Amino acid sequence: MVVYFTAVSQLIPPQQASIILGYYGTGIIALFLAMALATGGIMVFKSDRDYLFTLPLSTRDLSIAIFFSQFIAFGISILFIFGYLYPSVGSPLLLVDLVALALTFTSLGVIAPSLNTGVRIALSVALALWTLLGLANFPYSPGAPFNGNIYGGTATLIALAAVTVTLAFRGLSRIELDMMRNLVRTTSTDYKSQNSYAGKSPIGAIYSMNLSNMSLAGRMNMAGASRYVSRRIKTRWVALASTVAAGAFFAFGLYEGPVNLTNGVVDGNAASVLVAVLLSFVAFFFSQSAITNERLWLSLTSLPAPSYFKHLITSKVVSLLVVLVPFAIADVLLQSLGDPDLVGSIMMILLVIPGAFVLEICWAAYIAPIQVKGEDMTMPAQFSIRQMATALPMGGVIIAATLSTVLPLFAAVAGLVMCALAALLTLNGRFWNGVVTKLTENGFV
Amino acid sequence: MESNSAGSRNGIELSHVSKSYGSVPALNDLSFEIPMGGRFALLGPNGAGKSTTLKLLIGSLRADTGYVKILGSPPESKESKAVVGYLPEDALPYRMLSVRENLEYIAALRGVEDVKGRTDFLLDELDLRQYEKSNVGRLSRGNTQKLALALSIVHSPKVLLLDEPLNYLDIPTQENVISLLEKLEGTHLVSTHIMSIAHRLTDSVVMISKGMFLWEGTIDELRKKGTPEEPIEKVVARMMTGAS
Repeated sequence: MVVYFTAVSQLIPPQQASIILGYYGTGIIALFLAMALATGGIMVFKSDRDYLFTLPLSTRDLSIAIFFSQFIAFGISILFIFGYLYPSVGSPLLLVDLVALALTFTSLGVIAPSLNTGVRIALSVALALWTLLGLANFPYSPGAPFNGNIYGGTATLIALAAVTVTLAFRGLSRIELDMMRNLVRTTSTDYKSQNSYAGKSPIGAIYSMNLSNMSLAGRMNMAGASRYVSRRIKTRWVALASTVAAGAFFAFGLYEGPVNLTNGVVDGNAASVLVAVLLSFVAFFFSQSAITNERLWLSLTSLPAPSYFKHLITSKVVSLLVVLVPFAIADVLLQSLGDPDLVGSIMMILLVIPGAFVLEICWAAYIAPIQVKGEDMTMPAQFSIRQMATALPMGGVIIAATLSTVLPLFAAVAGLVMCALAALLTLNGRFWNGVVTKLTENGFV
Repeated sequence: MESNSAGSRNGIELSHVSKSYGSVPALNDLSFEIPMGGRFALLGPNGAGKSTTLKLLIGSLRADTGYVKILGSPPESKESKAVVGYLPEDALPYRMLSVRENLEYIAALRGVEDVKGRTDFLLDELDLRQYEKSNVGRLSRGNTQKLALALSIVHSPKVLLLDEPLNYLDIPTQENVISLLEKLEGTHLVSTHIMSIAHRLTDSVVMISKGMFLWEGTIDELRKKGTPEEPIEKVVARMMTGAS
């Protein structure tokens, strides 16, 4: 994040940097709020359930203690992630905003498990949209402080924190051990719709599995504990959500018009920066599930590693394009309606993000990630430094994607280099055979 | 050690295999053969190299020296992958798929002709029918183990490698699984710590310790190494620790 901030502030003049960070801040807060509610839960280890919660201590007191430790850990993360947004806020009130955000994120995690999936997802989307309203200068939005409405935005964040903390504490006071178990296992029991692989060839089965459903995975780092969360989503729903989001982006582009960041360096649509950052995150979450959810004992006893990974990665790229293409179409339409300089953004969407996506998969595979075995917490000490480095490329990808939207030549060169490298690695049998050995030696099953 | 004769290939063959993890040796000049159709238990204390041996046999690890063959082919070859079934210890199926999806996906990946029929057969045989739509991440450990076992035999493998196959299973299910495995033709190598399981699933033993070959023979021969009253576990423990 420091590298990102430095790159933005050094390569782009201050006025533009402030706008870009405003977009970035709003986007990332929308993402965090939505994810806290959609995937939330109190971070309780299996060892906590087995030993801590069986001690003769009040479950409520223990839960509150865990809430506060989680709040402190969130607060530290938030200082790292959002602290550098100061230039876009320009007021010490940012500190109040950050505390309110940390309390809200933590509280949403507690509230989330008591809501059913539909309500949780609807509220997540509503929270994200409300935050994004800050971009349209709505003063009472969680994203408002980063878009010039510091007082209204701060008041909104304080109110949001007050409501969510109250609800969370009411939840904590009723909490029982059974609920704590539930909090770490939030997936539903049955899949309502089933895919059939009957009649498919081996390669056809790989494409069928990865094109019908998409899986997201990411390491949620909360309260000092890491949790790999992975979810399967029907591709057609992802396509629908992506099309709606791209439609909103298109409408916003029409409403806002080309943001004229004049001084000869940048002349593009600043909302593209927000799209670049959000798509970088989405691609990263998709990339992490490619290897962490893999089962070597099944896939690689069926097909040779080079062949399996070649088709697995190709199918994942195709499914990622389902998310990306609507945004590229929106860019093309805006460009055709007179919005200049969206060429960089189009190349970012069609070259930089897919190339980076494959490189992130290869990187994660190469450094031997943690295999998702369950949804219980993982102690930080269970991750080696190398394994924790799976997230490192994301910083570079966000920088590359952001710069690509404003510098078309950079987008072309970076995109082509990334895609060429991605293709070389995907087709390199020696690389994948080496990866399998490395994964196996690191405990992958 | 090459295949025993032109006409009779070994099901499994390891010849002078060594394997280290960094500076830690796991296998040291290990050699043994299992004839086609043989049913062997792989016995050894913790850290003896049993799991490493199985991972070499499926080709997910490469030997530093020596070679490994499955029905005469290297384990990473297509020929070998077509005939091997493998169940690791604490096996986990794809947790983003349902029970049926797991079975159908792996059956399709392995080129099984009647994917639906084979899936239905295994769902019924292992009493998993009621969970066929279940998210694997929510299955009990016992049902997960049943599914894992089904996945390892979905293609009726000619060489079956099992690591503690009866872990987590209740006694009726254990009996069910034993009778299912008895009906499967082919070469079986079962890694286990429990002699009663070795006795139920196999008739011979390969014993290794500290990554080295220790002893090979039938379970009856093993039993004869002790006194008539002595439990076979005591005999095995004595052999593994080198006590007289």
